[in-house]
Amino acid sequence: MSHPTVRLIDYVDGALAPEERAEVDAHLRGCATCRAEVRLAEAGREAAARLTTPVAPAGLAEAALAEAAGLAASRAPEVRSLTRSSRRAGAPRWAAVVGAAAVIALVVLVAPKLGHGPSSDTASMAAGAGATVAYPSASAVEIQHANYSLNDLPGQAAQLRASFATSSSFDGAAEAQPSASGVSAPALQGETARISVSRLRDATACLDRAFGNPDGSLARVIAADFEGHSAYFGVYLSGPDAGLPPTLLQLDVAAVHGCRLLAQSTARL
Amino acid sequence: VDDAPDGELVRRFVAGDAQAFTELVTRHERRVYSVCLRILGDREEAADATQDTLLTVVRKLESFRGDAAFTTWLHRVAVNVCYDHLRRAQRRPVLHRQLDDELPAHEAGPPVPDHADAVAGSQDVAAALAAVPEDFRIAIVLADLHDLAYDEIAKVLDLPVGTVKSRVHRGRIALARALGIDPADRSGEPPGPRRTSQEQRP
Repeated sequence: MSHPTVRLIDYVDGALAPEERAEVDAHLRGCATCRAEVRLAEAGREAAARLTTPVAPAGLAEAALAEAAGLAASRAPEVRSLTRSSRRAGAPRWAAVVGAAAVIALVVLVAPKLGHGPSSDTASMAAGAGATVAYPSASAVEIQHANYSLNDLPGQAAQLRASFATSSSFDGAAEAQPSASGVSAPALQGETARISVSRLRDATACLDRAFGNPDGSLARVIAADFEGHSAYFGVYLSGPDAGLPPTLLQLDVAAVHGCRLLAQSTARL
Repeated sequence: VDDAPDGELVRRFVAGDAQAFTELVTRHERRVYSVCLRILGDREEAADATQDTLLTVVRKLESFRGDAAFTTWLHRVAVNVCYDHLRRAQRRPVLHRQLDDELPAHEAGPPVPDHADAVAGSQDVAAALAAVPEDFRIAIVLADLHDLAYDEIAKVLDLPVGTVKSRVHRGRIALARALGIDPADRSGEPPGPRRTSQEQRP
């Protein structure tokens, strides 16, 4: 008799009718190959069922909840309820940076993607023309497999300045759709291999430790190598006062391991 | 606590009720994280995949038709995100991959407090699971850990039920082998000295 392979699956699952089961049992008595297969499959099934379902770390839903709040608000008849619902849903820190005007909050909450780059933030700033200006704020770590050197740094800061100057002209012009490709366009152009929302907290804390709570709003965070060390590159924007466009760009580099200060560069906007 | 069925919460969210989505997340976040962790075998990757899954769910919820169970659809989104992460992990430069591989797969992430795997045997199984080829691994995670029916898994993976059953079967066998379980059975054979499964372990 040939091996009843298909029925062995149901046999292991206990899904056979009694008479079919008896037939398979009869075959198993005379077939060591099938006995071994059943034994392994049963052991594997029991082992897999022993696995636990661990509790998810806190905060994984934050970005989704913020986006849900924005989407829901855009669909709901009353836009006014937005501020309340977004807060209830735990909007992330960058949303809090945004000024009081509900219109701005709406755009920001609708616009964000994982790859939240300067160009996508422009939409929110543009919408706020005449009202409060919100600085772009990092919502994820952009991970690059690149190695930057100290000599690169002033040039990188200058390029970053250019990227913010052109995309953040505060003239109310609607920018391109936020897209993942928009993220890698500005300086520190190494290709973004991956973005990680979960590393943002670690990266922010590390930069804070290295630089003692740097001034300004953290606009982008890039993880890449600096002089051969794993490093976080924090791009900070600061200005004279809330509500006015940023005037200073600061590029801070901290070691991922130990959070040592590695380098710093600034550029006037 | 809101005890409306999932489908009702989806309708309320699409109609503009953000709280309905919060409730869906509360119900299913752990399931999503679990499926991602067991498929990817790495906490940081699993955390990222969970976030990606939930974001994708928000953006696509409008297109959820309700002809499948929400949990089936949710698993489908999660599994597709995990496949993307597996593809990206394969494209990572060799140096990075080797570094990652030096760590036990389930400890590669940040030190998230989690005592679940301290349960006897679970840690061994989690490590062995990483050695099971990904298609089979995904099949047994859905079938034996998450208790999805074969026809549900067929919808999640977009495969015929027969293929799903075969993958689950082969996955179980691969997992048992990775755990060093002795395939010989003692019943029909003469007694004699025999290696225990412990000794067979690498």
